[in-house]
Amino acid sequence: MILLYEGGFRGFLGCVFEAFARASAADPSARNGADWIERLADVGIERRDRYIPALFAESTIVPHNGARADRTEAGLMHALGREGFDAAVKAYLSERPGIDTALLRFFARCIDRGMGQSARLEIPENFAVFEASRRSGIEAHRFMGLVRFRELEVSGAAVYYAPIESDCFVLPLIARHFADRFNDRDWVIHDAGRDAALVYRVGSGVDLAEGFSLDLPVEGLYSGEERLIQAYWRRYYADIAIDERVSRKRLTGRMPVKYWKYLVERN
Amino acid sequence: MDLAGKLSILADAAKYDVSCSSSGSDRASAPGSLGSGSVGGICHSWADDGRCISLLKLLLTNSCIYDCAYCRNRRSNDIPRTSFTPDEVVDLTMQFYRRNYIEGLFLSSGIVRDPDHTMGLMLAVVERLRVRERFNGYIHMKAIPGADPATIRRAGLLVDRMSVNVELPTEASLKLLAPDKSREAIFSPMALIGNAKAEFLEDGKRLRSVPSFVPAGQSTQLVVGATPESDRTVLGLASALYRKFELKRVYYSAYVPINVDSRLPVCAPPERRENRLYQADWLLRFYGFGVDELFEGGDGNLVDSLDPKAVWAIRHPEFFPVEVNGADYGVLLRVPGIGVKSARRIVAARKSGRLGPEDLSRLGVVMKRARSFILCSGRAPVSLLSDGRESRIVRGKAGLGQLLLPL
Ligand code: SF4
Repeated sequence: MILLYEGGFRGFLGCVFEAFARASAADPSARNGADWIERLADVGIERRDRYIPALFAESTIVPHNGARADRTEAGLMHALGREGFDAAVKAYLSERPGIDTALLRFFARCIDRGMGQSARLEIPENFAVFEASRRSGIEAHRFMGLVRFRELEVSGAAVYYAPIESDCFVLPLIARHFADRFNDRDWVIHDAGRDAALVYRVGSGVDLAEGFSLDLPVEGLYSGEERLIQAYWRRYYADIAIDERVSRKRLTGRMPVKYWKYLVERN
Repeated sequence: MDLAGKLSILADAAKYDVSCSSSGSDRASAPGSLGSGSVGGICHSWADDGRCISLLKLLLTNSCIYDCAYCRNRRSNDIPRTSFTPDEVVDLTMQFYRRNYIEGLFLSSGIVRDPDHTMGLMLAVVERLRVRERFNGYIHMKAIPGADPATIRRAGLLVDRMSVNVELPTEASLKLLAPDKSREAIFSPMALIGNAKAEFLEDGKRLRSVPSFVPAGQSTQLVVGATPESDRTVLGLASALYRKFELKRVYYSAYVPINVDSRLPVCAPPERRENRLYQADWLLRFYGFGVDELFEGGDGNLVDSLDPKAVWAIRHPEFFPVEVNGADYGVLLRVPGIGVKSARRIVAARKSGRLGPEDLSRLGVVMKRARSFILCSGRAPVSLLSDGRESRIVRGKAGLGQLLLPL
């Protein structure tokens, strides 16, 4: 059975709840809190828009339920501890194929056998979770450097705007860093691939906005100085390389081409 | 000259300084002021040569009253000269930082008029950034040998890192290639920075709200390959510097031929030499190796084709195999394929049971390299490579400790 959810992490938590609830209902005699690994073996979770129906697989949509998501979050926090829970969230944000189901198995194992089990990386779902959370972490750290703000003038006020495209959904992971660092101006970091954005307003902090899009080209909103500063930066970028040591291989190894699209200095 | 022209010349002139790190400072952000530090450092871009760009690296001016043979800015070169005004640097830094192009500023300079005057100009940049602009990002500043100690101390209170470049490993080489500099003049500001840092740390223990003095410490750079010194001489100096001045880092910069000069070699040293020096430097700082050990039986230079730790292991068959279930931490560190992290994990993990080859892989040991140097409970580990499991486990080693082990 594949449980489908809509929306983000809380929708996913609703499915986790549903999975455990169904397993208990199907076998009420089993002692609560044991053997989840086996009882959940046939259940999978997938976000609805990513689900590709497979032959013979049954699926059902789990409607959004805030109270259940809250309970699940509290329960998992208790079972995994703060760090374990954070690692699970990071893994979730990787959006790697199959990670939602791997997380469900990971939870089941941690609840059955204790958190010590999570370090056993020869177990496939543990490895998947570990690997996925590591990837999100690495990509989030990369974007702390790769975000490039453009200074826009929107009805007389300066707003800093940065488009990005990332493999993992990094916005939640970089929000705090940018809110700390750039706290004296309004700014937006726009995940153009997901139509989501971090929106920071001086005084009211940072919000994650979904369904964010720009209807006009940003170039039209550039502040008077923006083009000049970009030109300075490109020039600096070109001049700082040591010509005798130019190496495309080393460059693309450290900064893969997929990240170049919105980099001022590479365009 | 317009700002773009200046930027070209003064960035170009600064690019041979290899230090780029923005790490080591956790300068906290403050509401209403721009910026914060990041302990681990952040790379913002990578240049065409593959080097990380973290700081805006600039010279305040490329005019210089000195005549160091290896330097493009030397007095005797006929090149266009220009300088930034302090405000131009402040402005570029702020504009770039706001757009998240950079982690902060790395400011160096040719010597104009005299060292103290030069340092004063640099200090003006840093003061305006910190005080007027309330800039909280990372600043690395060169201290100019011969500047007034008071100026250096003032700067130390504002920047995250200061460095004085030793450049050449011996007094004789300095005399030959940088006749205006002396060891004495280079070491005295290093000592000053080291002592001031210690003083402030000491005060910080007793008093509250003592400002921090170069919180990310001091570093230096040694040019290798411009003069005939051996790796042994270079590393001997580096290890003395670490000890004496509590340097955070010594950077090794492979000499790049820029000037035609009969005192200089025509070719750059192989890039590999720089790598091997960094590896050896690491062994000195974190693995308990002494300089002499690295060169036993050799000719005073590191072996080109093998990393220095493997070389030592091969020269010391009597030391191996090492029993991982019993050997001390320091002994484990000598095994190729075992790093600081994995050695620590081994010591912790074996308290709760004997370790076998698979446990070692999981703890981050690179079995491919370690296998022939260790025993697990008296037995040599068997190769696991055939079933492909090892490579998978090894891939996962990197962040295991941070992410999942503490759970
Ligand atoms: S002091 Fe020497 S190394 Fe420094 S800028 Fe002047 S000539 Fe170059």
